[in-house]
Amino acid sequence: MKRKVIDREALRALYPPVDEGFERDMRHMLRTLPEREEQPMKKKSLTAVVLAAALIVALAATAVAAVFSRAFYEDVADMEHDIGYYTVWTLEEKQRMIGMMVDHGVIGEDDALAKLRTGSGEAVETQIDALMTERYGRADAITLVGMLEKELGELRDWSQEDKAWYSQVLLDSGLIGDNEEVFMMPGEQDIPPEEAVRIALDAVTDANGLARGALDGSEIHWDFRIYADEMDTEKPHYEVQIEGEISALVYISGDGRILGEADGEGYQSPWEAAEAERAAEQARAMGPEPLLRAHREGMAPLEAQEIAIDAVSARSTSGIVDEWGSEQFTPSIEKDVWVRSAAALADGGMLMTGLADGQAALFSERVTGERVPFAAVIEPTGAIRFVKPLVGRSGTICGGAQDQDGTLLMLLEEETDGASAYIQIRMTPAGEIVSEDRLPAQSDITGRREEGDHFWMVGVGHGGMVVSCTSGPDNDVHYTQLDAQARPVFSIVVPQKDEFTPRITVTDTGYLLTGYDKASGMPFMRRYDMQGKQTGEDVMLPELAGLKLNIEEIHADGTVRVKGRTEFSAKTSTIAILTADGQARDKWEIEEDFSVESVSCRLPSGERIEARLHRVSDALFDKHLCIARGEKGETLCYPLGADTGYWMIHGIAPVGEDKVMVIVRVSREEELGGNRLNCTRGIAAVIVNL
Amino acid sequence: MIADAVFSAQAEAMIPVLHRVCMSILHQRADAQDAVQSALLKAWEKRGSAKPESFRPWLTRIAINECRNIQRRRMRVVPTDSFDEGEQPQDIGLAEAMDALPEKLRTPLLLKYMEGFTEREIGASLGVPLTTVKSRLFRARRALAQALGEEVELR
Repeated sequence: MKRKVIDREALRALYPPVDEGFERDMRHMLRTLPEREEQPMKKKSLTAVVLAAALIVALAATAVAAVFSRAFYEDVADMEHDIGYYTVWTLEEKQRMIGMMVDHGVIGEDDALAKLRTGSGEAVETQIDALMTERYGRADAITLVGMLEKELGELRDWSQEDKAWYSQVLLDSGLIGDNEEVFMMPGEQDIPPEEAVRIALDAVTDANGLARGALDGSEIHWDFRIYADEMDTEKPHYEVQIEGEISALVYISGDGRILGEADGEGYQSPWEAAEAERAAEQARAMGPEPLLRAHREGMAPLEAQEIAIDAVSARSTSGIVDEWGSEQFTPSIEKDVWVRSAAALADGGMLMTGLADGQAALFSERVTGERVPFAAVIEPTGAIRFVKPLVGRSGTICGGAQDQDGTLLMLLEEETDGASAYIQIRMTPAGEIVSEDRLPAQSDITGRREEGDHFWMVGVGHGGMVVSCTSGPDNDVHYTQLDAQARPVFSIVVPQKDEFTPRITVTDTGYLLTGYDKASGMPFMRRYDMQGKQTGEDVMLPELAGLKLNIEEIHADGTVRVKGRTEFSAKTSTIAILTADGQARDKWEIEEDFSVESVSCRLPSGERIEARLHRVSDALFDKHLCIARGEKGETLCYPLGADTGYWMIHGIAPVGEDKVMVIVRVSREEELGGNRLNCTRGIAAVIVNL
Repeated sequence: MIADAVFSAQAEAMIPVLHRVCMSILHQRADAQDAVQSALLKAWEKRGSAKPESFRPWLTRIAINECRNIQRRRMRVVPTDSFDEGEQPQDIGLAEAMDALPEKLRTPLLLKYMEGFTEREIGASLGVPLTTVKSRLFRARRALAQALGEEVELR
């Protein structure tokens, strides 16, 4: 079969380059924005002017409809779905539209119109086009929403009932876009819109130090919505827009919580931004040490040693990456080191895998080096036992862990001539490569013709690595046990429920899977033996209904610790200890931002130690490391860190009886070129004395 | 918080990227320019919420939302032959195959292979979890190969 190579340039050639004049205008606009901020900005007129002019003419010349008929627009939706947009309609279809308009009383019929409905030829079609464009604007705006906005005004200003009806029409007709908003009426369990608006106003007034009621004269728009592709997994939320002396957009959940990130990662409402900036200023003014001391009040002091792992730090010249010249450094943070995994070793060390990047500038596309995968073992003292740069490998590392016999297993996705090949690397704990074995092709595992190979590393156990891939029209998940030479032993195939991936964990006696039955909204557990055969029936978990579960730990007594949340962006997670038959022996909720990860281990005494990230304040993104002791992580919380900054947490391992080592990646704000940038990053082992 | 000078420098560098992404969604140069300009202005207004480490997906997300606003007001789906006259791509077959992909598959594919976004950046740009990005990329590659009727190597 032929093989077509599609590279970046081939894709870019699909789309015309940005017009030089436009790009120049935009650059000028961006450079002068700070100067113009005091003046009201006007959007540059492009096609909008043409459209606006057409609409003005149409408004003047078109009679306002005497009747607003929902049934008419439902018919329009069906036509749009069945035959596309007006621009591709035939004369007969346009005449059908005119007929519908008359039948529903949208326009009145006269002799001339009757002739248009039954006539033929180009002249008739031209007259119908003229009538339609006069009424609705340019031809490519003759769409369901375009026509509705002509009648009802901008969608933003419609009543929520009209918006909800419009969304239902889209859903019923199949016109809804994947990422399109779906407007809904708030349910009985949701707070009323007046309360949502009040919460939003109070939040913004408080954040800006205003008296309550100060923004009451503002123009307020609200709606209640969800995105179409999230309807099965998320809950609708309010979006409240405040326009006045202070403009703000606040997202509020149906139960009245302010959702700062309802619109996705990286977004803050203006209220949150103001809060964050004020807190950041306060933190900067105070300095990091007093801030941390304040956090430690009432807590036992905790000593820790931070040991930079320089050999894999972004600024290191040794081992993996080249130092970048200062002249190459633009205000970007892309030159970096990523940690893919950090797994505890039997001898107390940690196996760390990752990628080092030589790319100097994210936005200028000046690439000075390739990403280099690496493996490293960190001693319990924080010292580096070895760093193994996999120089010459072009690709990415998927993770690594130690097998029961002590061998280190890593999975590398190698790109050779544009194709991905997956390589299992076996290494001794001293860093000597024992073997490199290529995984079988995905098609050999799934028995289907596949487009390339795409594997994920799930874990290690039972004599080899466990990998997963998806296949088939329903994206069935194949969990495949490999042997020591990366040959498949068997696969456990799990039907994929939409886009929710079931999770499997290697246990001493086989495998444990958690899934989610979408029809009943109930999670379940399923066990497999060491040959991959299901043992027993699925154990349904009604006490955890609505939760998508991850297995956190399997205890020696057979109980399972799971963590679940109802939706991706939920601010709380539920922890449960489940007996083998699915009874929740204990269950509790924790406050947890979905972006915050935690890792845990057990000391030789059996005590559970969890390392998690802790925000310096509710409004700051700066996080530092926090150690929690005990099953519920509630015993004590010790903030650590010599400076505030952005922490990422990758792995934890016990060190002796009373210490843990945590592998973290830290970035801090620095002054660079007159700007404060979050640009310094490094990897560190933090040894915590408990 | 991102400094104004840094915002301007990084946003300027993003103009060609945003233009390509908007063209891939809207297909009409004038619409794409509208979307880019609106996105830059909105980003400037919202720059207080921008973080340097996630600036690229943050700005891309705003631009994609602008595209959707324009789609909603005009057409939700644009026919594949709607390129402006004289701007037909050379590889018509590839262009048609790309346009045959649903937008939810096409956009992540282009962000990854045309713009070099990481999967996490794609997730942030589209507001979907990482697992969803992986799933959509996989399905997009497979659908593209089916549409082209031959095996595909994306580099």
